[in-house]
Amino acid sequence: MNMRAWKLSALGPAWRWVGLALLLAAGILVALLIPRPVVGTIYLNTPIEAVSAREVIAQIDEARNNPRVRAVVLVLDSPGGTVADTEAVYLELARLRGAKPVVSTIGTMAASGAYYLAVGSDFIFAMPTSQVGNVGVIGSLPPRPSVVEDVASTGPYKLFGGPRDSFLRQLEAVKVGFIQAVSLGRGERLMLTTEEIARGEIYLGSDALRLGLVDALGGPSQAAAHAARMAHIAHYAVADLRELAGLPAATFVPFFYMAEDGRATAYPLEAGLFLLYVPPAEGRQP
Amino acid sequence: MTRRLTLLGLALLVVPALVRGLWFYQGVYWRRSPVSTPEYASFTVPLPPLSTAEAPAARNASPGAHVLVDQSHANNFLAAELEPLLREVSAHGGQVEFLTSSDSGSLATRLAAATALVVAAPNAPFMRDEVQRIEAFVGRGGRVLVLTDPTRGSPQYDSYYSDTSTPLDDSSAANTLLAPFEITVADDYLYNLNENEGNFRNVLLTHFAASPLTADLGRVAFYAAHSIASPTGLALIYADENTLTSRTDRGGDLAAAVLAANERVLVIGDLTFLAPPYDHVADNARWISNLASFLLGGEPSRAPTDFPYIFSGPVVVQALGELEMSTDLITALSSLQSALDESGLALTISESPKATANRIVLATYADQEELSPFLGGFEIGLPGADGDPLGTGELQLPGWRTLDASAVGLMLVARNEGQTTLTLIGADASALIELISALATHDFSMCIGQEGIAACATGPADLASLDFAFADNDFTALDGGLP
Repeated sequence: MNMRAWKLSALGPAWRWVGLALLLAAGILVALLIPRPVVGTIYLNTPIEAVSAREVIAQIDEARNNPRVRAVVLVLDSPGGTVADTEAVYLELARLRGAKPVVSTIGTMAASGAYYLAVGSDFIFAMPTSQVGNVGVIGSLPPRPSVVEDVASTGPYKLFGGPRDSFLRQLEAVKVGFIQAVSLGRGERLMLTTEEIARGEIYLGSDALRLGLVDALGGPSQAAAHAARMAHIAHYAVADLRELAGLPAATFVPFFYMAEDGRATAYPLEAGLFLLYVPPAEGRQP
Repeated sequence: MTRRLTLLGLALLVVPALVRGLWFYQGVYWRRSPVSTPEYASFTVPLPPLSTAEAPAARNASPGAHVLVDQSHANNFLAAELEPLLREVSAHGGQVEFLTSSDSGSLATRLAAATALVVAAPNAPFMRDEVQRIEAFVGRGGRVLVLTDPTRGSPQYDSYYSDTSTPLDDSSAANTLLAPFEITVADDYLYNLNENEGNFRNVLLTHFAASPLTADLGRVAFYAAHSIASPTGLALIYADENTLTSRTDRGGDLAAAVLAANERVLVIGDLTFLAPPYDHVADNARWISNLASFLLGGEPSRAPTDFPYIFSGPVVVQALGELEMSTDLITALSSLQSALDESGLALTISESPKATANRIVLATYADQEELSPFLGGFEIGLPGADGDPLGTGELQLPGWRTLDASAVGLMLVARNEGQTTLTLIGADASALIELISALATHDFSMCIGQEGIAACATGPADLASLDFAFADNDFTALDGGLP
């Protein structure tokens, strides 16, 4: 066949229009291959512990690797959790932020470890009455070292982890990391001194805004819009990253100590270091 | 024509994608600066400041130094926590005893033997009579150390087995004791977010008032401390402006240790600094050594009602003048022996005891000459002596009207360089027996007292007939306890 026959100009007028229409259709098909951008949403409405942290990190991975996801909104409603799990999520968020913007929005509460994660995002929204802050570390001191007759061990602290005094000092070292994360995350927006932050106060969202702990008042939709603006996308879709990552529905993981009457207390089930807010209304530690 | 058609075709192919792309993507996300995270690897656990000097040795105790540690007020501490302090006391000759709520002796009785009292983290209030007796103890020269601690706010005992009343937090309980000394322990804790000893509530204190108690101190560490206020006391250790009280979140003029009542009552807002490993942080060891010296320095004057605790060693009975050791008198003395036995002290009789011996001297008013060495400092006018030139048979006590010597016996306690002398003076042997009986049974209901002196009705008379009114005099009725 003569190649000339394939040129549009070689076609008759009718066939020319047909050719153009086919090209337009092909163009539209190609255009449809361009995905609608997605603002991925990660919900954290449980304490930060091994399971919830693992699931959040899986969603962060999905956000990082999924080209459709151009920005991420972290919806926080948590009193915090364990130190190591919080730090793990925080560091993964930092990696994600290198590629895509992350905006946090605080519901009822982002206290302690949850606020740690919030400062690991690019912009923070809060509701006017959200509870924000509570920067600090808590932990139950280990028992006083003693000889346990029925359990053999190879060192004085094998069973106890260390002297009680050392544990207290470890809290301080963890606190320094937390405060530095706040300083790095908030930068010049922060109106509080290091000492004021270290007081561990919880602020209302409106106060938190005035003090530079958050950037604006608003909820998830405003957060998604802001994240989209940061990512320079429009007409985006909002998608739950849990679904995109193919994670099953969240399962209940016991984290807090249950009183004998079946009532959940605000105290962790296991000993350790925590970036956690424990409401005073709970009274004495069990 | 061909070129235009080609361009049109390309446009139809590309423009939809371009339009859709621009519809969704209006720029490229580009981070201006890298994401910073904390330099976790650089964080180190804060270590306690160690003292650069060994603690000086606490001074040797006064003879008979006896430190009583109160555990009868739902005190929330372990004996091991006071061990560094009490070890210092013991190492320098001081005797340490604990008073628990199950002990037979009351605080009043046990105070009679003590030269210093330690009250740590009480969670039960001090009763009015206890406070009065401690106040009297301090008035006589006894030392009191009160240790409070915000971490000991509630008792760790089973209230079912406790005979104490509703437990209080330690500051409230301590304040029931400290009110007469115009000292108040605040229900707070001190904290410093700027510079601390590993935790905000562990405060480093560098401001000291001049006192032997703060000698050579550069910095002490308290591990949660109450602030203490006293309008008349000396703020011995006080905080800098960065140390705040939890009550107001403000600083300034916050004392963590106060010395009051003629430097006899010391109140410290912390107890934990005494316990290992905190006893060797900063200059705490030196501070503890100074505290031991404070406790060892108490040398309260003694009253007859403190018998048998006025003695700290073997006792010799010496009869003066023509007094005969009758059977009745020896029988009465045997009851004294029983009382002294309970304190582990032996009683012997000697006509010429060593000058350094503890002694009980028995004499009648007639033994003026022999008695004179034992009356020094008491300002007593005996019947027929210089104070009774007219020979009226009346007895003159300091700050008191004259008394009928035939119906009144005297008990006098004098201490001199560790030696204690109890002088009993009566109209006759039977009066002395009554005085001995009062001592042995610890029944001073027929006596009135002043520092070192008790005047007791003997014979048929009683207090009322002797007109022992309490107005306009310096004497106090005795009921078997301390004046």
